[in-house]
Amino acid sequence: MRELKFAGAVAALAVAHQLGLPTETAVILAVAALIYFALRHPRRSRAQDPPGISDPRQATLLSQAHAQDLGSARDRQIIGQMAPGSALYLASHLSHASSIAQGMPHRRAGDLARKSAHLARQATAVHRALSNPRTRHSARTAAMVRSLARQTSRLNSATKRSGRSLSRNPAGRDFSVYLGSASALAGTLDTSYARAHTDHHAAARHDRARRRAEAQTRHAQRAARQRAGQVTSLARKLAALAAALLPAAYRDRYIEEFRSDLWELARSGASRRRQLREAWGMLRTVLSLRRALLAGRKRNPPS
Amino acid sequence: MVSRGAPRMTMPTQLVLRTLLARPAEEMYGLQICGEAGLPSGTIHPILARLAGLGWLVSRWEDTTAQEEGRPRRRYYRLTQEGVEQARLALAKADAAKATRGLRTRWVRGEA
Repeated sequence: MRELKFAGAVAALAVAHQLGLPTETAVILAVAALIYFALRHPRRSRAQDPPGISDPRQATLLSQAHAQDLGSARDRQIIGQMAPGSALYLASHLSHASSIAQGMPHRRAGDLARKSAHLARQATAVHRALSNPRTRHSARTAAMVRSLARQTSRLNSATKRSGRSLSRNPAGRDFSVYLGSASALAGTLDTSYARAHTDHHAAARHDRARRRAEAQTRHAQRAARQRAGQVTSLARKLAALAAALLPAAYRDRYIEEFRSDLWELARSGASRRRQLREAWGMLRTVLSLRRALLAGRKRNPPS
Repeated sequence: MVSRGAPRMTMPTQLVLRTLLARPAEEMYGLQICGEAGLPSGTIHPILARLAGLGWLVSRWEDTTAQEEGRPRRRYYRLTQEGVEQARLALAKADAAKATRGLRTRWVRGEA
């Protein structure tokens, strides 16, 4: 973007040169091109900062964020360390149930084995998602955990309904026990995950609030420094640009003079906006100053 | 038509000259003149340069105290003896022209 602006300015100068226009007109065209490109592609403005750190709401928010961090650290640790293990355990239960179902002398044995194997694969996927810190708290993982619990519970209920025919042989009984245990485990995993998931998002919200508060503190500190006599960077650059448009012999003098004016302004407590207005005034009248300097050059050599 | 040896007596020029004439022996720096004349910083520099070009003003950098204080140096301006006389004359002419214009306007409106 910067290159585009300067390319525009150089192009304007070249066109003015080709047309044989006077230097001042060429400079005006170049500055106009710079301003045009700056306005057409402005920098992204920052969102307005929240009120000062002295604000009691901010202090409350910060303390809440700390409390929330402390409170949720335990749950986050549990979900980080225990949940992947639980999912793996659940997968092994379901896989075991599936292999039992395959050997059962039951008319729905094939169907039960296929459903158990599908749930085992789903539990393995959940284990993988929970083991990765990046996907642990994603919406997709939450949906997978919920779906796994629901489907395991549904299969368990269906198995219980046909309990009489299954309990006739030992394999059927084993299958029911494994599936019941898997269903209970999936339910617990779902509940604990949901709690940790909610806490995680609450903690993330408070993290964002804390970052905002920190940014706002930095902003307040910057404003305090400015009040103590620091000239705004953009104002300094505008003044330097104004000085750069003057004849070379006067450039150093006016750089220092403009800088001195801005410094005095900042020290008197002028706001950023006021400093920018003054610097813009310098840039706006620089061609008039240039003309005055060139006219006076014959009488008074620059000092 | 403005004479060759005098600046155009615009309102900002008059304000700057009046500020400098209020204390002709005293040196003043840019922002101080701005504050007393009630003009923005960008406006006074072309006027000061024009007056300096005519020899009405002299300027100098302040002594080394600025570097000791860690701030940019100030540029001090002061009217020359010729500048004081010419400025008084030019302001008197401007005032007279203004009064004449006022009279003419009232005459045209039928108030005089």
